[in-house]
Amino acid sequence: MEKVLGIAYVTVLESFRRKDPYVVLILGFAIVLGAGLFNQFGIDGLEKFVKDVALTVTNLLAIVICVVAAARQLPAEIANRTLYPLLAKPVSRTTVFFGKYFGVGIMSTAVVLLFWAELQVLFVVFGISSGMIFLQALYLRILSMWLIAAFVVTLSLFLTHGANVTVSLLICLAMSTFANTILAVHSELEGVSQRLAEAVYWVVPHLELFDLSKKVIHEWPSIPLGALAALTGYAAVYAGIFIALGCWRFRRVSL
Amino acid sequence: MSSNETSVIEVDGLDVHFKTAAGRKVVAVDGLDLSVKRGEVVGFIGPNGAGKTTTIKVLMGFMQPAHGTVRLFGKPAGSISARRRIGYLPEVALYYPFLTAREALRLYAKLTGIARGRRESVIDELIEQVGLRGRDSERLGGYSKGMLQRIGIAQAMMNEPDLLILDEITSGLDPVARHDVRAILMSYKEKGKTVFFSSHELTEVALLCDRIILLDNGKIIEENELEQLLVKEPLSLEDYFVRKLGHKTT
Repeated sequence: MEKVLGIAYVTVLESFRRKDPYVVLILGFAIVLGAGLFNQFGIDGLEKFVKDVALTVTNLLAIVICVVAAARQLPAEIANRTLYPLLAKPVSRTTVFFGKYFGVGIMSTAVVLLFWAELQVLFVVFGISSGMIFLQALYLRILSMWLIAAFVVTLSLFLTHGANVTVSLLICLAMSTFANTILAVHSELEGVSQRLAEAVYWVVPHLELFDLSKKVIHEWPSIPLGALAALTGYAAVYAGIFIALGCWRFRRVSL
Repeated sequence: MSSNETSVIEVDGLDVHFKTAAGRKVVAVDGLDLSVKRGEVVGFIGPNGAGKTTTIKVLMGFMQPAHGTVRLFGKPAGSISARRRIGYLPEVALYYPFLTAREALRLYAKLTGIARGRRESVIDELIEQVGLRGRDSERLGGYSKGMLQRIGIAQAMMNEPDLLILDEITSGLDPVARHDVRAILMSYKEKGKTVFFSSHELTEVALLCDRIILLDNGKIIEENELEQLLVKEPLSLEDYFVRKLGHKTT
């Protein structure tokens, strides 16, 4: 485990020393602050608008950071040949894969926590209430980052860097409408098209389930712990399948 | 001592093929047989594209051969138990530019399995050995090619491996650094360790090696003890190299 964490530490250090998260954090802060100022102009009902903008922007930017970092890890190690001295040591390729995955997961978690700390500060400053659902949304957002990291790191071994970033961002950003669209059109389809829609529905990661933004905006009560546990299980199984596939592929890559 | 322990590297009938982007098959290594005994310093020489780096990559387990068996210390190439006893320097030394030299060596020490309590003293010793004292807190992104090569040598020598596999060891080094590296390798040789290295620098090869293996088009075209070779062929190693590869000597 120490070897996995050693590689993960270097991955986190790289992201922060490249300053990618800071740029996005500052950008996110500026947008959220801009939205928050509306609330100060005394316009009634803008509290929900501020929350909506703040959550959408931070979620979007966190996903972008996670996808870009995850897509870069293994291809960059192979292209820059930094992988050779690592794999010359008594470590398995699975260890390296897990090190990279953990690194992206930890870095994305740190970014989400920083974003949400920013949000909490802004909510307090502008007198906007959050509540328990806010913390549940935070937990699920972090969970979704680990899920995204698993499939993006794995896809990086099958697709080119550009294709991986594009496909992954499309999956992440379109799922909230895409999943519902499949459900809506399913009954209208027949035969092969229906089977295809079902296959797509079961294969794609249901990231929309991890998004509690609307519930936070409309101040819903907290969701049952059973639902959180089920989503945790879903994320673990889904990420596990992708990690297994990624490790299998990485062990066979000729360097 | 078992025969496996006597033979540190055993390569038998190694074939490595590539496919080009156009789908054409290229034979990089063709039926290679070689053996390196414990305590030997072997120079693996040949022109560009001869198959030296490919062979070394197979020894390290980075590539799978099409045919043949490769064993190091009696274990399959690339196995963790074999890699525990190997130090490796890649052909082009690239290391994380965002890390300082000490941070990078700390990572390699961790991966090598050096106990936490010993790590800093091992790193101090290596930094001293490769002549980077006082520069170890600088990021590798600001290092020259020669300094990076020194870091590469330091990480390869970590935990005093029984076998050093070095791909283009003196690449990018200035004369002083070459002298230092030669001294390091000589001390390794005196300790009875095994060194297998590829180089274009024939002076280096002549000064360090017990034996040379000359490779061309993926095949061994000469394998001999250096002393015997120089008696048999009273030429400089460079002239001999050129002649063997089918060019006229000057």
